Amino acid sequence: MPKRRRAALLPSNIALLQNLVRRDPGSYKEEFLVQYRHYATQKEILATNPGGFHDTEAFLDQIGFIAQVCTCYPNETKEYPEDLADLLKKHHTVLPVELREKIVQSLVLLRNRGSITSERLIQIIFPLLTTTNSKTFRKDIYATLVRLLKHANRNAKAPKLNRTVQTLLFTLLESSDGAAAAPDGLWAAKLTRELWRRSIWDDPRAVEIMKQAALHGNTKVAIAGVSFFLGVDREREKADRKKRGLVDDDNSSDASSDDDDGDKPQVAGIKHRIGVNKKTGKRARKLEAAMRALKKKGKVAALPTQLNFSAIHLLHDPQGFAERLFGQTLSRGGGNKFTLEQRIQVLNLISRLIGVHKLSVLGVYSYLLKYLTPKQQNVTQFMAATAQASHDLVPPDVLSPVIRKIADEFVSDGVAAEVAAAGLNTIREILTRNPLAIEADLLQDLTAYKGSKSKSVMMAARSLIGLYREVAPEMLSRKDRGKVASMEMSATAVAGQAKKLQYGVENIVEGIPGLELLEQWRKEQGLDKHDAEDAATKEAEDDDDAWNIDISDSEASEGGWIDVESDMEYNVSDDEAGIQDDHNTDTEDDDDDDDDDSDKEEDVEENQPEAKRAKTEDAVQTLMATKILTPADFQKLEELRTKAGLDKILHGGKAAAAMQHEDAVDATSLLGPKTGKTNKMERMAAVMEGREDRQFGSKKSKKDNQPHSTTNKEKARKKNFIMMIHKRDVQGKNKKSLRDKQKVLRAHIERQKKSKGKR
Amino acid sequence: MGSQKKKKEKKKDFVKPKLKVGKTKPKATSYTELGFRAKAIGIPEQSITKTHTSRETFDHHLSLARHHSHSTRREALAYLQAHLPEEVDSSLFTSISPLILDPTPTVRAAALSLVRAIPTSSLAPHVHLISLYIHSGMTHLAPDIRADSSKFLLFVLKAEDADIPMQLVTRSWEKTLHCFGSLLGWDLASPPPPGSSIPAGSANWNKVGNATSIDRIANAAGHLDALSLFLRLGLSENLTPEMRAQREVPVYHADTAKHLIPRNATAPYARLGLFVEDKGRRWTAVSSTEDIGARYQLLKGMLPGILVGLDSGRRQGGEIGRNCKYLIDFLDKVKAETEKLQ
Repeated sequence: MPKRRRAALLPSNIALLQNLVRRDPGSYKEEFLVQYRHYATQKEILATNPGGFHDTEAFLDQIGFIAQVCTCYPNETKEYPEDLADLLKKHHTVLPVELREKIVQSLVLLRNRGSITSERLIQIIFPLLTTTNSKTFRKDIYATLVRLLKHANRNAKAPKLNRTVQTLLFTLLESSDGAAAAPDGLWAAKLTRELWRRSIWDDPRAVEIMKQAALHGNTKVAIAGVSFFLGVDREREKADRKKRGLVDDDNSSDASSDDDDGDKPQVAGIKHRIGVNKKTGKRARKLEAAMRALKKKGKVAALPTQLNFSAIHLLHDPQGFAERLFGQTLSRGGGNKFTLEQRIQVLNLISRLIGVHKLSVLGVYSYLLKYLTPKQQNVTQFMAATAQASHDLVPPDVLSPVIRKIADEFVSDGVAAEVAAAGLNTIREILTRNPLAIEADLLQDLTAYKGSKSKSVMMAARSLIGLYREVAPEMLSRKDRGKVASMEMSATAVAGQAKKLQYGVENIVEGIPGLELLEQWRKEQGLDKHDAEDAATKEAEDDDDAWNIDISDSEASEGGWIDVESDMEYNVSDDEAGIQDDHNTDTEDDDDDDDDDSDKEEDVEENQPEAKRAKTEDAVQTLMATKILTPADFQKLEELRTKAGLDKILHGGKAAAAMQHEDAVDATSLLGPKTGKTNKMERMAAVMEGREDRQFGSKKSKKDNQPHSTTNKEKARKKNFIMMIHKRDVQGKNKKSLRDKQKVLRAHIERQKKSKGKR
Repeated sequence: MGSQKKKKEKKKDFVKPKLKVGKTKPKATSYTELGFRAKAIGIPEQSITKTHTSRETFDHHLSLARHHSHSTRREALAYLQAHLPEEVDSSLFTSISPLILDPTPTVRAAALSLVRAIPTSSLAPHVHLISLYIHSGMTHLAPDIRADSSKFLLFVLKAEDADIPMQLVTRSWEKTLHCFGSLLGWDLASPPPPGSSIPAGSANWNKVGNATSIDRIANAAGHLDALSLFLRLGLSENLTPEMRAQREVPVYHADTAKHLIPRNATAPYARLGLFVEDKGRRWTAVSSTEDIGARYQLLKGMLPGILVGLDSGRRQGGEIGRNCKYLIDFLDKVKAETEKLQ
């Protein structure tokens, strides 16, 4: 019955027809075909004069209608997507704006319905991005592309689609490698950056695109590529954090975090209201909605963190890239195209590349020499780049002229204090990365600035001293070495194993420094024997007896290890260690008794100093091979080292960390700590930082500011005087004795004075 | 206190503003900005003495043919009809042919009368454009536009210059037939199963037109007229004297004329599709038919559908039934002749 009634309904407008077709495609096939034919005729009319086509609205409806229902008649509308693509391709410059937009929309709809693949859609609309001359249309297409890729990569990465787009971008960059066609390449860079920022793309191919962009002939494109490498990872991190609603520093995200804060009490409030008030469906729904929102927020926060490699790390052939970048943009007049700011950006990237991948691009250092003078504009940026570009594999004779130049230009008596500080800090930054790049004479000259009157210079010189105390104390003058370093030096000198810094020698960690002390201590305590016995006897009854003893020791000194104690893995390893201990002692000497063994060793040591060293090393090796050190052991080790005056471990301290670290050098940090006047904004920022989650002001003012009804005091003050005139309070004042009146007056005057003084 | 404040304010008025290095001098309070910024200054130019040429007024009314108010459109058409020049150029056709699809009936009627008033000599080059709009009208969703479309079609088919209808017949034979199919509600694409020919057709016949029943018949009559004229033009060799003359050029072979370029064809090589970009769809996009044989081949697929439709029309009787019968007879004759030839 309903079907017949619907059949009797003859569609007079397209929306109605669409509805009917969607419900019953079979019955309305003829009507649809008529419309499809009508669309074809309209398209032909359009083709005769695309610019002057004026029946746009009807055609728009037609296009939308067919796109909506074309899944119902897949055979009849096979050519429809290609028709639209054709229209767009041929006439997009002259078509009316709304028609153009509608076609793109319909194509997206067709893709969503599965009539065309994502690849095909991208092939259709991507060329328009660069060929159209309409700004809004371009924006539209760009947004469509990003949305499409985001959708495709939402659940799992879509490698095929990504590769298609990346290939398109590659060809776009390659084809536009001329000054005239700059904007095309710029779009490739923009799209890639956007997708990277949203973590949609995080593969090496995307990085290759940006590499291509950075080497592009056009300045704008090249700078877009360069700035991608310099800043995009921070951007991505920020976006990610924002997505999780963790930490935000934007104003916009502040608002969202406020919402977050508001959520929990909201739920609590609603729950309370439900408990107190009448139960209604509306309130229940509200609670449900709040709970859902809360849950969703929790889900977002609990998203697994993706392991993101930075763009620089994903580069393929960084050496070639750095060389080409340097050759094309900076050296031999290539730099004329770029402004100083742009050159600094490029230089920054090159130096980051050199620092991160330990490349050798030796031309950079002589290039930098030119710019390292105090009068150079933005010289701190150049200095930062110099520091970034140095690492331990740069030949010292390449770096030492740079250091010499900085020392000559920046660190002398004739220059301002901040200049000298900047120079010293830069030298320190370079030397942390490559300590061999300076001669002892120059170093000692520089460290002489520790007595400077300017605090920043003095601190810079001291930091330099501090660095060399760790790295190579023998290069410092005797006074500067300090107690620990001198002790270490004399100790190693006696032992004859003074380690000298050498170019190209990697600092390989051979063992745990000071382990022999621990070994000795263990023997003195008789712990080894105890362990061995444990392995044999006590194991069964109490697994972690030895462990517990150690722990109780460490607990006395520092209570931070309790958590570890309950860890099962350690228990297991301890067992193994015990077994291994037992086994080893068996094999090495055929003696079962450990005590005897060590006694023998000591005897030998006294006789032959050479053999002694070998033996200790052996013992240490044994300890390392047989025993798994517990956290408590490490703590004891530290203690022993401090006692022995060997706290400073060669290449184990801060300097080693710095030598490994490949982070960017902040140009402002080279100026040293800021002293002197700060401006108002900085001061206010500091004040506000201090005030964070603390509230100031009197309790009373807070109370008064809260919304409240009229107080009694207020009521009294505002009461009509006629009502009060016969009261005792008022009349009594007149009847007071002269003395009382005087008293009141005095008191009043006194109060006034006090309150004025306060002001 | 108050007086102190006033004093201070008074003093302030007479303090000389300090001049600072590197900063512009502060503006006086009474300073008025006199500069203005404009890319262009438009000075309206109007004159009551200026007279418009007839051409200008004609063009103005041409543009009014697209006016949003239907009465204005109608009046503009009336004006155009009254002031038709000797030589009509393409601008007239580009602006009035969309009115075939106009939603207002009176405007369509005015457009029809205007088209009728145009001398046939200047109509010939624009038949293609008009036929595009006629096709669009024949498939339109609105029933009254569909109904009126055959009036325009009839006008084109009945034009004095024989070349005009022949253009339509040769260039869009297949498409027009399809449009007729949708106009009359016949299923031309798929032939009906051999057993159930007539009942299915009668069901379809009832669907023709969406208006009231009397109107429906009137429409159908018009459509049928157009269809029969179209088919007769396409399938019978009614040679004009001119064509005969062409046939009588020195004849070396009986079929020579077939291989010659038609003398008055507007697009003689259109069927080759030389300027169609999409090579894959070249043959479907342009189906130009030069002779009866080719046209019959295209018709053959749709013939069962047409015959079913006509048969059910014949059963209705009256004028429509008579027309249908004539057409059926004609088609049978054509069928017999062509099959005899082959």
